[in-house]
Amino acid sequence: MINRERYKATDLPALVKADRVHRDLFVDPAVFDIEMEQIYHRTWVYVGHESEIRNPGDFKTTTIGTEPVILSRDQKGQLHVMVNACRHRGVTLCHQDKGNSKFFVCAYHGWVFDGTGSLVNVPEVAGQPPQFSTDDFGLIKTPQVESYRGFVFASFNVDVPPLVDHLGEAAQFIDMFADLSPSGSVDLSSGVTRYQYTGNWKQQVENSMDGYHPAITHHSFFEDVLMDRIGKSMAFIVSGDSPAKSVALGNGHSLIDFRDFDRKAILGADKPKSELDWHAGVRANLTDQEYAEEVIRVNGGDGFNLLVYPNLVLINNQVRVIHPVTFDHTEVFAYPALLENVADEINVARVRAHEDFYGPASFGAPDDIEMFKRQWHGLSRSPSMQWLLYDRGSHREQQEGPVRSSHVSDETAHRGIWRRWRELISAQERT
Amino acid sequence: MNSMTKQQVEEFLYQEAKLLDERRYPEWVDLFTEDAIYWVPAGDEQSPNDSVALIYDNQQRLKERLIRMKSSRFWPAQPPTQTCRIVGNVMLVAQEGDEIEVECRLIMTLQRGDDRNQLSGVCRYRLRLVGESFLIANKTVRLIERDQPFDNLTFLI
Repeated sequence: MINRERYKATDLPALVKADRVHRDLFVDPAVFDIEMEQIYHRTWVYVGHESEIRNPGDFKTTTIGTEPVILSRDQKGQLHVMVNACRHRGVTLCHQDKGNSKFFVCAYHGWVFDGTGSLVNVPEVAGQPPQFSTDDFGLIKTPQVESYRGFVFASFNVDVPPLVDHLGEAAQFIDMFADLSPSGSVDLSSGVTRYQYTGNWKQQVENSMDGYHPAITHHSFFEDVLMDRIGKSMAFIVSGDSPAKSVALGNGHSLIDFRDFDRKAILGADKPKSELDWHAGVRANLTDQEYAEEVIRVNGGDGFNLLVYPNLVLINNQVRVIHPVTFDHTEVFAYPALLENVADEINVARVRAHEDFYGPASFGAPDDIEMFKRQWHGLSRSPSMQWLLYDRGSHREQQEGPVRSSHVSDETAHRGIWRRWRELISAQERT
Repeated sequence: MNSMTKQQVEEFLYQEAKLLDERRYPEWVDLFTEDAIYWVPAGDEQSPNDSVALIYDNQQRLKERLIRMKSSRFWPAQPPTQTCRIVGNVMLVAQEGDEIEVECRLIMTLQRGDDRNQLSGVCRYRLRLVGESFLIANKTVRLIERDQPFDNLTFLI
């Protein structure tokens, strides 16, 4: 049965069951519009990293959902997130990906805005009526902008909880990712690889937390290439009695956690289970360079894939940002995360590792993109295929406080993502 | 540079394009020297160490691409992307010892299932004269689409 009615937000929670989700939540354009309002305009959304806008006047352009925004650092060093549209007639102000400028000048009638979003000049201002005040027509800004360990988040919702409360259990993993760098902050200045697919943004969200697919989807890398490169398949890290976990951290944030692996078996190194204690202990006795080498030797990256719902993924040495474009079109930007205060060779190796698996010509991402396209091809054309299954591992899930976990190949993370989706979609507008 | 050399270079580039269009990848990899670099930048950077690339392959990685392409589970090439490329505007830029720097333009049409695309760019080669023919010591392709999002670049450019 094809549903030809446009949905209202109140219709949607019923389409998320404990063990299944209705296809319309992916393929219906009305659902996408509701998501942009209820999720991307309501909660915190990642907009960029401070290393991309280090200096006064630096800016980058990005999106919050489908809405184009400018992230800028003003002359006093404060961060601002403003809608990239002139307040006069809505013309896009800034076409560059990033740059440095004191002002944003509209190319149509010449209205000038500064790095805080204030309207500072209107040509031929005598023609504006007497009640006109530039104070009333600064750029539209998100009322909330906060940074955590260099990761900048913004929210259009004035009543959104503080960022640290939103991050909750995810914050400690952002700490670990940032602590890979001796300075305590990673650096995203080494460029970006971009890919796109015909399909819905939630496919990439789910895939980023999917520990069930690698041995199959990435068979040609995990089995065939790695057999040649290192003499063994890596499929065992997600199959059989792997100690790796699929984890729902709360608020939709989730984790594929490889930290319990016997690192001696994989990397010829060992370390205690408490990651933070390990970082502190190792750092105390080593130079920055030695510390970085030790971290990489033991971790081979960060030891986990973290989703900060809805649009940020930290995965090995990569920062992945998901941009919904339309209900059936998604763009994904991937930035190598460099370390600060280390030898150049380490960062060159991190860039090369990114190219190995995460770019559109790499040995990993194209496999995932192919699955997104095949999933979209099947799902969008098959109204009789009504429900997608999300119950794998529900019989062996453990709960500790707000955190639920299970075998890495289970769908515990996905169930957490959909619980959060339902919660955000159901929330009523506060007055 | 004499005209014979330019004709030899053009013939070599056409043969290379033919191998790629016909997906004769092992023969194509054999065109590269042991110390070769195959680079497709993602931006305007002049050094591959400054910025992440779309492709930055040495011989080992080129050989790994062959392994992946041979795999029965190389999904992004099922079906394969068909390509048809025109190589033109060939210019000999410099010659040093047994190596020649060459620049040319590339326009290629891609067809995968019902999905049609086009890629264009500037190719820069460093060719090493070996016997009567050349090997590729460096191939750098700066696509005009390099800062756009791609969906599949697993075929080679």
